[in-house]
Amino acid sequence: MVQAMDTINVSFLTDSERELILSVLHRDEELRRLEEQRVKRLKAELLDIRRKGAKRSNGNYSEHSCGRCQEPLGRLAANSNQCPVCKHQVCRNCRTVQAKEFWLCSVCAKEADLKKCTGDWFYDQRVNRFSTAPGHDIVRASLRKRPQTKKRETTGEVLLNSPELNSSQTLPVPRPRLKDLALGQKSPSSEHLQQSDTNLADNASLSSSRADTDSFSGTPSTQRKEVVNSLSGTVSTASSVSPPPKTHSPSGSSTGTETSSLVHQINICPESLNDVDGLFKKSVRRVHKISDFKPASVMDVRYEGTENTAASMGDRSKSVPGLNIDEEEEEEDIDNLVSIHRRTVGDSTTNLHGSSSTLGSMMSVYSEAGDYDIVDVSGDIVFSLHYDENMQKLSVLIKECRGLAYADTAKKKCNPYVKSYLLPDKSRQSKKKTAIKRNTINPSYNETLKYSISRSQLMSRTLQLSVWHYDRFGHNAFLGEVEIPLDCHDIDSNQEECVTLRGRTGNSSTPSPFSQYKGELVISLKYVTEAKAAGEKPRGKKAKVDAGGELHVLIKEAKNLCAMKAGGTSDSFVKGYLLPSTGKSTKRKTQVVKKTVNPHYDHTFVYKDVCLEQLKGMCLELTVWDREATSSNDFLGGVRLSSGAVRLKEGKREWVADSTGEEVSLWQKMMQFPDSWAEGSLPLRSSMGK
Amino acid sequence: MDLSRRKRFVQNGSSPISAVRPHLEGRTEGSSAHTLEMAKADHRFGQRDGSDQNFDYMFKLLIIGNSSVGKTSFLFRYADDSFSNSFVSTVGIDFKVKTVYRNDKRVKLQIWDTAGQERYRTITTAYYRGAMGFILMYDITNEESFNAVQDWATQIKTYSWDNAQVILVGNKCDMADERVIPVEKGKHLADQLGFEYYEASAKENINVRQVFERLVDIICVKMSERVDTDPSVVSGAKTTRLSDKPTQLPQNCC
Repeated sequence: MVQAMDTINVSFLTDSERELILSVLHRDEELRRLEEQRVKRLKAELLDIRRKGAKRSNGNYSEHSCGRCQEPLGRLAANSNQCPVCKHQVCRNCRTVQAKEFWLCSVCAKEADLKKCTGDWFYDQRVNRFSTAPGHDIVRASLRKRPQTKKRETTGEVLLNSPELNSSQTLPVPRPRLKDLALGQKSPSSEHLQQSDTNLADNASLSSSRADTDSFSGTPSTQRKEVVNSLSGTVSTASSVSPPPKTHSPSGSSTGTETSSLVHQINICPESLNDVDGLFKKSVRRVHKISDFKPASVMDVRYEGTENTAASMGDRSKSVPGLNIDEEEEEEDIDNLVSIHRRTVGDSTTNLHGSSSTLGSMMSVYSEAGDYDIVDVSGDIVFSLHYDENMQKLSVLIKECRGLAYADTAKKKCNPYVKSYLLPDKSRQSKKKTAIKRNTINPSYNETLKYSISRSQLMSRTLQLSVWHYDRFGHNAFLGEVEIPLDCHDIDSNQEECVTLRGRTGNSSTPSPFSQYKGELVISLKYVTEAKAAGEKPRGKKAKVDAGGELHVLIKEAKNLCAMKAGGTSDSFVKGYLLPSTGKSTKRKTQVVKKTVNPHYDHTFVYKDVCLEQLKGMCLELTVWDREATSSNDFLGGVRLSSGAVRLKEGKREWVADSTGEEVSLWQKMMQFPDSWAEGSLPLRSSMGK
Repeated sequence: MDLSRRKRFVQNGSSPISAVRPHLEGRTEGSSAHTLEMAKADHRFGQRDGSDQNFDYMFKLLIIGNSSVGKTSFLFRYADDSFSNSFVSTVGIDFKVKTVYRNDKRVKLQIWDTAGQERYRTITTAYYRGAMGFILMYDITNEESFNAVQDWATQIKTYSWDNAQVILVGNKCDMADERVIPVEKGKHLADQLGFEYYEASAKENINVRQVFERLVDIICVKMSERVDTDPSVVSGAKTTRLSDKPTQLPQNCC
């Protein structure tokens, strides 16, 4: 939300100009979306390679085995076997020659390659440049916001969108620069013209462009002045966050359809254009946070209102509109969900070790509890898929099944129905069922199961169709299933497909929480020692008693989160616990950052009165959630920071934290270097099972 | 400024839609000025084209320079191999996509064409940031456009990221009779600024492909420099930002 605040005033554009630029932005967004998917895929590939046999920090392995494939190494020339980057001893087969005499181990080589393929070699440098802030991300984020507003404009859509835009105007937008003010006036008044040179220049060029293009050649000299001007402009903004600027008032205050479309026009790509402001964002942001916190929550309400209108085509209409969930209630909801999530994952893994007959059945959270008879799977399922771009809806037409197995072979009993999930989501939202057909092994359904989901989000999902026998008294029996990964499936064709049913696929209960790329979380940790912490708070009576320092957790940003909302975005926030305590005392939350899968939170969690010795036995759990206004929030991923295999007692349960790699090293670095920030980018786990 | 050959449309700012680009043969995708229906068709085409994920690298390039130096023509020549004598000033920004095969790699180029006009400057500068390569263009028959090069270079320094590569291009080199900027002068300036230099003609298709390919090459070189020779980059953004990275390794290495 924060970065949506500054805008470049583009009110000087005419309607048709706006439209042209919007269509360009739309094409760009399309390209970005595809590119993002490609990057995701590439990163997932890397994770895969990395997992294969790489030595784990906590594993016991011989010095004489390859760090990648674990094959024993020869006795000779131990040093020359070391990968120059990761320092693992690596065998010949796990090397990639980069140049003459220069090689890297397969993982490091892949990582280097990935840097090139994803463009990270270029884009990552921005993190090293404090002054330039995340300009590109802002463009990205703001472009992602576009789809709703800029989809080829029909007047209707424009009108539909305008309330949203209106509401965003009520946000405390940083005061636009003076020149913007002047430009904002539809008929520039003379007093504005006199405000600065730049104004004059700008207006001059504006009017001259109307009259005659020849008259200005467009040298950037005036622009350079603008840079200076904008610099001072933004800085002054930082110190004074004022209510909605006057600029908008000429259009915003009046009513009527014409004006609302005008409002829309004026707002075109404000964020994508705010890049220049983004230059100075770092210094500005903090100020925003304090002053904007309240208004943000006020705006939330409005937002939901508009979202509901927008969602009228989506199936979020399932949920009761207008039902305002109390903040606390909603929080409990999250906690509840986490625990359910944990329990399920936990259960299913224990199941794996236990009897395989009940495997899978326990995976469904809300149903399938209990075991079922083992049936020899047979038969096919006939279905077709169709994605409706306008409605952002996936339709799964379940046509029929043929030659199903009898649930009870002796009595020739079979009452089949089809159930679908969009994996990995196994929540109630994702579950759809057809009607039950009685006494047949060739049921014909012709039923359409619908999912409201963005195309980009769909790419990371797998459609699971399972066939079940309904037994009113006993247990439902599993009759077979199919899984269709949607990233490589033609979802536009509407073509009828006939797929053979299979039995439960081995360990579909996601063996590793990292097996799926869910994005990354960028955080910074700092342990503030007792002395410093006490110095900071003069009322430190308690500090003396407890003799502890503070743990500061700066939640910077997340990258490449799963998109959960229409338009390929998410409204995400981060929640943190310092385990073993799961109570309110260690619970922290960031604000919700709307409509982006690359959110910047820049929020710090502070845990007081902890000493280093304690931290060794603690575990920081950070989870990212997509906020749902009217139903339970969706889990987007999480990280678990600790010094490795730490034994934790949560109430009666005892478990061992499974932090790995960067999660461990970052935590250790934090403890090793008190009073300095340890920053890292951690891959998000797809599940937080314990 | 003699524009006898390149006819100008006088743009009346209030409705630039009247300045719709003339339709050229062989051009199906891209340009921003289209009817709604065309836009839809473009969108579909763009999707098909864009969804071609069969490439190794993706580079973003930006063409900048004064108004009417021929940025759009240059891009159209390269991407569509088309040329039109008529002039229409670009509205804000536009881009085209082209995939080239260079150094055994398929490189997808997203080439941004920017408006040279001052009034769009806030929009165009916003796009400097993610650009890996710049084509800074002037018109060899237009002294003003050449004099502005220094300012454009400053713009690049101000808004772009490090490691962005720049090529200076003197366009319209086919118009020998009207030349006011000698080759040496352009070369000299390029040397001063540390850019590579080409003279080119979008109309006669001179050096157009070469400029783009050279730009791709120097970006590739820069990329290899960054990635292959600096192990800290390899091990990820996380390590580059850490003050001391050895501490991260010990527990990993035996």
